[in-house]
Amino acid sequence: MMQVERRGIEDYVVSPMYTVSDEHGLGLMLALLALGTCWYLLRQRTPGLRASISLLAATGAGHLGLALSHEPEIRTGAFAAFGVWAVFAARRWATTGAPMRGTLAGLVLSVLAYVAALLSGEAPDQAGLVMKVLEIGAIGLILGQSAETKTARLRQSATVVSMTVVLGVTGWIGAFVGGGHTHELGETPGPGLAIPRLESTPPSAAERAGADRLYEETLANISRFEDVAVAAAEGYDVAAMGRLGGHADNPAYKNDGRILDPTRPETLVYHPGPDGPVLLGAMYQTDDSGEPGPMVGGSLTVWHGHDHVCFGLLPPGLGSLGSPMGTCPLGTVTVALTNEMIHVWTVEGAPSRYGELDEEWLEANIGP
Amino acid sequence: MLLIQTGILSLSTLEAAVVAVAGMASVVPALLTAAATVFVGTSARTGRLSRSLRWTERFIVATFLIDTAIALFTAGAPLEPMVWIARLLIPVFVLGVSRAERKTAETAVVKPEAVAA
Repeated sequence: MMQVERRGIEDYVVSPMYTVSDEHGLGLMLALLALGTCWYLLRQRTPGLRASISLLAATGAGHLGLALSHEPEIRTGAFAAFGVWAVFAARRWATTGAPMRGTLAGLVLSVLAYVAALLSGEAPDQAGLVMKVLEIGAIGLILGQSAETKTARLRQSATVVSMTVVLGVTGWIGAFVGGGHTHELGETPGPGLAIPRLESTPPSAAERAGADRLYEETLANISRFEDVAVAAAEGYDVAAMGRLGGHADNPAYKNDGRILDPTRPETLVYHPGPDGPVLLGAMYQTDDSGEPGPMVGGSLTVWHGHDHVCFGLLPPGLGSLGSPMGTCPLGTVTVALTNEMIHVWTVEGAPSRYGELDEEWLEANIGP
Repeated sequence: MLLIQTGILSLSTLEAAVVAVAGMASVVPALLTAAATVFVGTSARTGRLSRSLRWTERFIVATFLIDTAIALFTAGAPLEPMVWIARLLIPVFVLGVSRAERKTAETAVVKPEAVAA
């Protein structure tokens, strides 16, 4: 039997939110380098001053790196201007021992500009998020220097915590707006969706026939499961489908060594209709993470995985998706990459047979 | 550090709560994360590095180590930069400060006795 090469996470296109984009790598590297260097050089200063100046210098160096690695445009100029200003402000602070006038305002404006970019649909990446966290840290330290009253301390706490939460929430918005819920090759997916990094080529006649055969065989084999009771009797966990987006798994068909077998689909997919659950189709899965699914219909039948899934242990099940700020809720572990899977939609009138089913069509024709 | 960590944990609580309210996950992760947010947030406000906080930080580091092992095993790649900051650098920094403070406190108590001996 031919051994199929496993895919690693680098073989998938995932949401930019979980990666460092190519043009941001230099910025992130320079930021971390500046942080370490300043921290070492300022070792004679108080820890608060040392941290404040290091964070400011790091974001300055990071922005200069971004300016160097982007194509010349207005935004690149803004990166360069902010970078020069932040490095100058850090140097001045180190010399005089006090922050330059406007340092706080400059940092707040930088964070707000990034938040505005995210709200306009720009997907964040890890370099951008790291630099904004460094800036929020510097803002907190500057506010902390003058926080002698209870009100001032409260203002410091509220500012740092709320800015961090706002950055995370707008990060989600940018990631979902900037990346679609596409299952197509060559497109940027939203958070949690991993699409194989393959070139999209028009399907050949043989691939079209393969895709049609998969659809017909699936339809013929799962029609009986329109009655949920029949699915339950054959081992599908229909009781759990409410919390799995309508997916009912059959544990006996998972990891059974049979992939893309229409007589044993690993999962059935239902959607609530006016008269009970409506069978939408089936979902096939591979046995192992990184194991490529057979693309019997070429680019018509693209398999996908899920990345950065927070898997709950108490009780076992989905926890959430990995946060832009790098956390999973406590009591969950991060599953970096799941098995590959593919949906085959057999419900009458479905606008697509494979991949993603249009939500608007679903609401209009099956139910909300 | 503790204020940023409070913000990060607040966001994580919010995310877990949204998924739990949507009926797609248990409320346990949201409750655990909310409890951690309270421990960290209280320490950030009072400046007291309590035992609960130290266990919370250790727990976060432990999950980071488990997750890194899983990521290397399943996806063949380490986790992204924000994970290292939020779940390794910040907790280790807090634990380091806490340890230094306790050592200082112990020295202050022990010193007169030592001198007397």
